Amino acid sequence: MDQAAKDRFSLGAAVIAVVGLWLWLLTGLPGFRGSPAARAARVPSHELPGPVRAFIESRCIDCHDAGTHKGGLDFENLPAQLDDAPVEAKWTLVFDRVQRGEMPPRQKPQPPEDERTALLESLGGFLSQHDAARHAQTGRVAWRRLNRAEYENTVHDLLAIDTPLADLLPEDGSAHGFDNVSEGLRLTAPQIEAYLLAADTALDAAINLKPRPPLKKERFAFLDLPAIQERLAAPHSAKNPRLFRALPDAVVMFVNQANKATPFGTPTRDAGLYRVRLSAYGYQNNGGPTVVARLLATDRVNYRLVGAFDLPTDTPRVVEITVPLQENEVLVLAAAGCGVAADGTDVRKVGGEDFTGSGLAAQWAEIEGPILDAWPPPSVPLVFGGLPVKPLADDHRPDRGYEVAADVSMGDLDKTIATFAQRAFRRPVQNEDVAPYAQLAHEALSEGAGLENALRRSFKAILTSPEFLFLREAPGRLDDYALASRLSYFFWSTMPDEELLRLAAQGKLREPATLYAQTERLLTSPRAHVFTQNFCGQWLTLRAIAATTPDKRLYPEFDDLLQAAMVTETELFFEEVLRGNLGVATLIDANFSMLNRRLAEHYGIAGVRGEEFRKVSLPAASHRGGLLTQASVLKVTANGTLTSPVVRGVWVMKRFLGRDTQPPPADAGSIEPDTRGSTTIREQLAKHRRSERCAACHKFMDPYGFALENYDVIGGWRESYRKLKGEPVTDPVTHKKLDYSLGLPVDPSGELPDGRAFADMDELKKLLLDQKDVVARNFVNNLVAYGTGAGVTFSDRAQVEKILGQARADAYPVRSLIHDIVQSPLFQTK
Amino acid sequence: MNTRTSHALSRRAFLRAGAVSLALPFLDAMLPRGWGAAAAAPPKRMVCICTALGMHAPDFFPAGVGRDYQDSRYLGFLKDLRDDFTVFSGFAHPGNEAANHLSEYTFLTAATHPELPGFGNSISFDQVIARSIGTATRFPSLELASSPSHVRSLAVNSGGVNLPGEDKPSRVFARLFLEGSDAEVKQEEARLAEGRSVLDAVGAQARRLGTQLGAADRDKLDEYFSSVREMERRLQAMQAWSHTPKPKVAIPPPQDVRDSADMIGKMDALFNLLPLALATDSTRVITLFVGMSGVPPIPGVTMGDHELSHHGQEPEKIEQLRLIEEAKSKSIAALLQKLKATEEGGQSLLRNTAVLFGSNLGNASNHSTSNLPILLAGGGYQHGRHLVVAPQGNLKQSTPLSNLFVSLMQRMGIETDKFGTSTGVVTEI
Repeated sequence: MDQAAKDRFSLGAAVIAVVGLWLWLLTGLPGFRGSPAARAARVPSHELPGPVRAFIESRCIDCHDAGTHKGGLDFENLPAQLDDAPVEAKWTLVFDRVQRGEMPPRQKPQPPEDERTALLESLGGFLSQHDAARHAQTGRVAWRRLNRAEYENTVHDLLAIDTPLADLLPEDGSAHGFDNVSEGLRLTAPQIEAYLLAADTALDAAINLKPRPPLKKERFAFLDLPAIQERLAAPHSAKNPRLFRALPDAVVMFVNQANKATPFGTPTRDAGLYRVRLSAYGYQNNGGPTVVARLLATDRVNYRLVGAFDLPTDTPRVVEITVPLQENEVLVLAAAGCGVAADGTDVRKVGGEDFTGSGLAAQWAEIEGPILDAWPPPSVPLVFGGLPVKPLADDHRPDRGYEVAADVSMGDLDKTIATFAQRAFRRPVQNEDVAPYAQLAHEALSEGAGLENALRRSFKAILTSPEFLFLREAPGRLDDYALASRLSYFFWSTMPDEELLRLAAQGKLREPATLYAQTERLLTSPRAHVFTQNFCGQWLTLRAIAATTPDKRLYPEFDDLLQAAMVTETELFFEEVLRGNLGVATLIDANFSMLNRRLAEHYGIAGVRGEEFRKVSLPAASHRGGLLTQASVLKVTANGTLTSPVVRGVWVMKRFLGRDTQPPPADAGSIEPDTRGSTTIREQLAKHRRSERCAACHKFMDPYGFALENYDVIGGWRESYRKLKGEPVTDPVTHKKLDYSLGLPVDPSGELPDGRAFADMDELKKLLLDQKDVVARNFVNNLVAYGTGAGVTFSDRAQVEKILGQARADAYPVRSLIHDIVQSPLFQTK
Repeated sequence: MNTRTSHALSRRAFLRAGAVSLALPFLDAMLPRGWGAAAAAPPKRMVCICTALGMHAPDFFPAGVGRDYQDSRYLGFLKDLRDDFTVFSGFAHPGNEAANHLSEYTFLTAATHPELPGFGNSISFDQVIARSIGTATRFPSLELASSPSHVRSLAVNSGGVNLPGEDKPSRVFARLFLEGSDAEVKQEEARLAEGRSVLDAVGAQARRLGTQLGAADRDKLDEYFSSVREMERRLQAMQAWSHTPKPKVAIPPPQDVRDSADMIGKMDALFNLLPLALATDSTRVITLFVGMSGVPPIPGVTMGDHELSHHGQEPEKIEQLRLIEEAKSKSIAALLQKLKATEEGGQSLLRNTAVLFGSNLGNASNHSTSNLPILLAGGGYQHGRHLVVAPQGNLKQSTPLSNLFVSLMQRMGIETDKFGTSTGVVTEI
């Protein structure tokens, strides 16, 4: 099942909040009590170990028989066949709940310690044995195919191209929270069809024998752009407001969305990297928000943000960036922070000439590219190997500047194919491994195809082959090549590079010191940013950042730049923790974060200027620090209008503490939330918590959500809730009335299930600090799932505990944990 | 480009003009292979449409039962079609009570407990039909989606894997109707042949690799192998069909909808193609998944459809939600009108096409999966009524939606009396 979808749903849906009264193995109600003999007869499965049967018969069956089946658990009909995944999951949960002392519930007679131990040993052994037998036979990780991102990265590296490919492939399923876990990566016929298409697309891009594209070099003054001139020439009217003003050295735009007016440069003829320079400044900005230049690239259908730059007022700033552009794209200058006037006037009414508010003064721009290191591009020698590629004698064909020599021997052809296959398969190949692919080229040649088409056919097959698409590991300890791939896909989401393959060939990679050094090398490389993105994107569900859209009337300060900054903060924070090898406690609470001006303002932290992120020490009363109070997490756990303590609580339990909350049984009932605003969501929830049935689960999840009520749906600090009715709040700059007013106050206090009370999130974080073990265990479990491609199963637990044991004394330094995982048999065994 | 559509006859203007003009009798040239105007009865078809976020129940379900029901707000848009559809109360998928939004995955499969760990989906009933009758048409089935975020269809194959959904009308049109020049056709044939030899090679390789593997790895490779074989068969079928010219239709290739949040626009663009796909017998089984969209460009709508579906009884949110759902209702009405206005062999296409429209959620505001909004149009059934199928008419209980699926399967010629969680068939239609 698609875990991303599960997360998206559970997050977007605050309603579950008040509704999901999730009962599992619950307490309280007196169960039917039959005679011991009758009860004994009610446990059917004789395949269970004796102590497990005995425990269930004496301690559990009253509430969990076919008649009562509290929390949906019915031991009379729960089979012992662990091959059935849902059955295994249920037994594992039984183990966990007894181990944590949650079952039998406190109100019931408690089993003596030796009885509990006997059960845990027996049931644990039963689960372990089954799991370990399976691992011994086929390993923890079944062959896993590359997911879309890995496919794209791998083909990019293999062919030295950067043509987008992932979008050509169907979305991947995920399991155990990640879309690179074998279990979720399925295959269908349409997927195979998509691989054929993607291979064609990649090879089209790689076999680029065109003449060298000319260098495009353009410079314009924005004032001279025809679209701008046209708008400046038209008189201002209410119907056609003039939103620009001409200055001697610039044109000022007073609105943020000027997409149609300001495309500059001619559409790119050749895809590639382009260097863009731009000069602009903020104009008439008297205490309003910072004016920001936003640079977008567009094919005039879709727009994508390629850069955003804070502009000083009245002082021109020249910015320079390198942008990858596709064929036929243009750049567009847009803005943020424009159109804000202290006298409250609207530029659409008064027109650009008379407007007194803020604008973006655009001076000039330069575009240069495509930037080429070599021609023919590096993809050509990668495809043709040693085969000679020569310039065409006469270059009157615009689409053809080079050709591959026709008089190539079969031997050279086969060698080219073998070299490509070896790189594509990420391990050495024997003749018989390549023969079927070479055969395709031979057939094509015998059918009269040219050399280029013959090679294409064989490469297309290689890119669609099981050897390429699957990470193939053999049971037992990984060989060096499999280890190289695991490392590379863990940290770079792509094929191993030359150094890894060389060490694998020398048989050195598995040496602990070499492995350590290589892990360091991969982690330190800028390429490891994809690890941060893919791991945090899924572990912390940051990929859902755009899943909900904040209501513009309630949250006028929200925009795409803020949203992008939220994710960047968390990613850079994670990388900073990793870089400094800081302890997991930093994830719970930290005295720093990674901020830029936009996000610092959002957090109410002064003195951070510019769009660049940097490490910022958090002031004492910032109410920030650690992952849970970062805007990204707070946004993905809210919907567009309201927060729910339950949804956030469930998120903290699952993502941070690694505890699943069980889905509600059919008879839990559900009550529709009422969000009309006369009561806070917390008050509505209190009704449910008065029921003992409901409180039994909600006492675990709600407290975290209560403390986070001080943070609104976009992660801003609040002491009272915003609502649409009532006395409107006034904008401090324009003095205009906003659409929202302030309603009921927030009550962030609560009590953990163990009885410890907290007044707010700052205090709760202190309490959470003694859950470091739990946080670290969950962090390692997630890393193991992501890094190996299989979730942590019952018999893996001992190895996870060993990794944790090594790091406990040092308070779980995060980078060391990663090293410990890589050095462990868990990582080095299939 | 479009050498064939440029030969468009005067029908172009009509087809462009929309529903009414589709009543024009089909030209022989438009009739698909295998059954002409003089041939036996036209084939039976089926379209299944699921919208992800429910339909606000008080505005969907009508008051009164049987023939004398009073139109609800949404059914009011279908009032001209009143005798062409049946609206149901009391359907649900057993075992999906806690499925929440994951019930999207089981809407056509009726698999139980998608929310539990280790859940495995099962084949959707449309695919059962496509496997049985799909060889008769160029495309065994069409999987469509109108959704910005995840291009996934409602259809699930026999391995329990979701099939991807196509969301670009231009690509659907190209696949169904665009033929290209002779040179392009030749190129396409060469591509199909190349595809087959490539798949032949990788399939053989998979077989070779599979011999030494343990069970779990072999399962993975088997899935690869069967997908490759299935694709080979499809390429083979495409090759066979490549000698048959694609049907000519008299509309220009559609433009793709630019605004990713414009779910209604996408839906309409895809709906425009459905009658043509069916009338030309390019396929007989179509599913369309209408996903979440963000803030759709509908005047008066300022919030995302997902936020609005969680209206919490706020009147203003319900008001905006209605605007979206009214637009959806109008789109469905327009689709049904078009199918009705298209004639074949003296009958309306709607008569030969069963259209199932509904949602996997009964009440999106609290994620309830009971009392799903379900509407069945066309297909030659007895219509014009509001049927309460819940046992004893008690909406606290429900009847498995699979019962309706079995009825539809039987009508499509599948000999079965059971699907998913079915307990029977729907006898009242």
